[in-house]
Amino acid sequence: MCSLSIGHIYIDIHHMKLAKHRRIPPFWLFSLLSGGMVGISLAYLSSGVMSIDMTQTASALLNGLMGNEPVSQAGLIVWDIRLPRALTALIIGALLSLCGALTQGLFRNPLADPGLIGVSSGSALGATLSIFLMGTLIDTSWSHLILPASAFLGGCLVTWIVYRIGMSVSGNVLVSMLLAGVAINALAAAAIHYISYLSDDGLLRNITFWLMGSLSSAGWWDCAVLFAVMVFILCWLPYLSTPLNALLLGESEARHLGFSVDKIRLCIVILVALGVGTSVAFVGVVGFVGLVVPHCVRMLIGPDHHRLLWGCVLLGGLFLLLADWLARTLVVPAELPLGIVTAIVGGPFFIFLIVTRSREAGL
Amino acid sequence: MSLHATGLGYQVADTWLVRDVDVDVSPGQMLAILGPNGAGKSTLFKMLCGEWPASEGDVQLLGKSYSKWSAQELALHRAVLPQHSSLTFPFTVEEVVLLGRAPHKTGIKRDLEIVAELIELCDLQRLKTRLYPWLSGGEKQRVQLARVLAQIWPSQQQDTKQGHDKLLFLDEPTSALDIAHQHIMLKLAKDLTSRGYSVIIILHDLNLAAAYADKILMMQEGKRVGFGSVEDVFQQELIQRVFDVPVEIVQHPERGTPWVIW
Repeated sequence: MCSLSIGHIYIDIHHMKLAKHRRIPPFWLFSLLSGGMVGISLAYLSSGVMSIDMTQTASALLNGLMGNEPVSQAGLIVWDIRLPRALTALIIGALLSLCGALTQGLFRNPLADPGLIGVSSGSALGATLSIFLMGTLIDTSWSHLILPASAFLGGCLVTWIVYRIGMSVSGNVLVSMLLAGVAINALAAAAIHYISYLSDDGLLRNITFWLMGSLSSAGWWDCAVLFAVMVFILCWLPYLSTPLNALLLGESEARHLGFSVDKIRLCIVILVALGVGTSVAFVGVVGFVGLVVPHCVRMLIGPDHHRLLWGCVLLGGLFLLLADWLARTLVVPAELPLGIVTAIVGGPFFIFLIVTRSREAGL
Repeated sequence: MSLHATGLGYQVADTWLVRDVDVDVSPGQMLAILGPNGAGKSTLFKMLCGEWPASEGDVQLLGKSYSKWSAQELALHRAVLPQHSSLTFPFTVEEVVLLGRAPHKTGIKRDLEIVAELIELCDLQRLKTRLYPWLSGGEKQRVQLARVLAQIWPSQQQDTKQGHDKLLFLDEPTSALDIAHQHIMLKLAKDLTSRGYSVIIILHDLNLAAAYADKILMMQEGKRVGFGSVEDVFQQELIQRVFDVPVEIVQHPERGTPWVIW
């Protein structure tokens, strides 16, 4: 009986080995995702504490696009509250999954996460510290600027430390960076817990809500900054796709193909720190997007970065828009923290990936 | 001279892994590096292909030291087949071979022609739409060979210069191959030399080296203990001393090349 079942598994694995790739033509996927984005955006803009019907939503959008001030209350809600928030969700989702794909490519590990190089926990620490200090020691009216700035700087600082530790080791730079990231993440988590321990109830609530991520404060200004960052990162993609593909072969193989691995590594680390740091600065820590979305796209259209990175931009945006829509509408009139929704959707999916991957590896 | 190295040495801490090695390879020659485990073959190979800078001595590729080559320019002239590949992402065989064209700006149309040609040459037609991570070890090696060949394949269809300024480095390319594919791979390399390419190859099978190489470099304990034509190096006394096994050397009945028996 035992040998029979082992035989079954063997046949199963063998079957998978022989299976030809079943990929979706990228054009179909991209069209599907773009269509889905428009559809979900309309639903997103129309629903919430106050329901607005689609025609009103559409006319409010047209009105805004022509540069007019909103005329009705519904128009005001759609144009000034929901639209910037929807766009922020799209951009954050795109940024996080793009950075996830870049990190996975750099580490040649499909299970890597932007958090690996410390940027998320560094930003979280910076933000926690600034919430705590502004709530206790310093009284300031600039908190809406200081919080994102300190989150961003915290992320950059920690990433820099991890990168320097990695580069100072002779031998495998990536493994040392990864291990340094693990250690720094633990230190940052300890510091965040200590600050939470020192905080009173009100501050603790602020910190917790922020650590779980929320788009509820997103306005046009946030949207504009995030958009600029995203455009900057997108400009680099055409130059990074081929080197990233070559890097997947191995570092020395990429060197033999004429790519300067150290420059590419530095460039990717900077872009990831910028993308994730900015996202965390504006909306807090949103987990699982950067890990799960690139994986999904890879399973759908294959690992070629020329297509993968753009697929991540679309699917990541769509995923976070959907997640935020659920976060806003599931428990009306209250709101769920975004990190909870992405984890509820992303967690089980990730477990599914672990299980199926280990079977492919013959475990 | 396509490759000219003098006084090569590689030092780790106080130990010299390789010392005082001189090597010359002319266009159209195949040089086989032989020697027992730990003789410094791979270290020498990595210095010769420019992956590791030599601690001592200098390597000139096409008359220019490695330090003077830019990485991109170098990629157009020399390709390296590593012993192991760490690619775990699900690229198809065709996509992996196409990656060899990354340094070139020949356009996707010509690139795909080259890929198709090499898939044919490396006996991969049957596998071309399969996913790389799930191939067997030998199949992977053939795919990687096709990839490195794509890197130095002539960009124009009728290239008069052909391979005189191109070098191919192969690190134990036959280790995972069956006998038939060992011969397919080495015949392919031999074919390239007749078109002017230089091939530098690490081999473990002495008889394969004797059958295909033009020149042999024998290593022992980091030193060059033999360098020259197959007949010069394949001396009973030398082979016995280097590998520490009793051998007989006879002539192959058809090829006339030396044949080692133990």
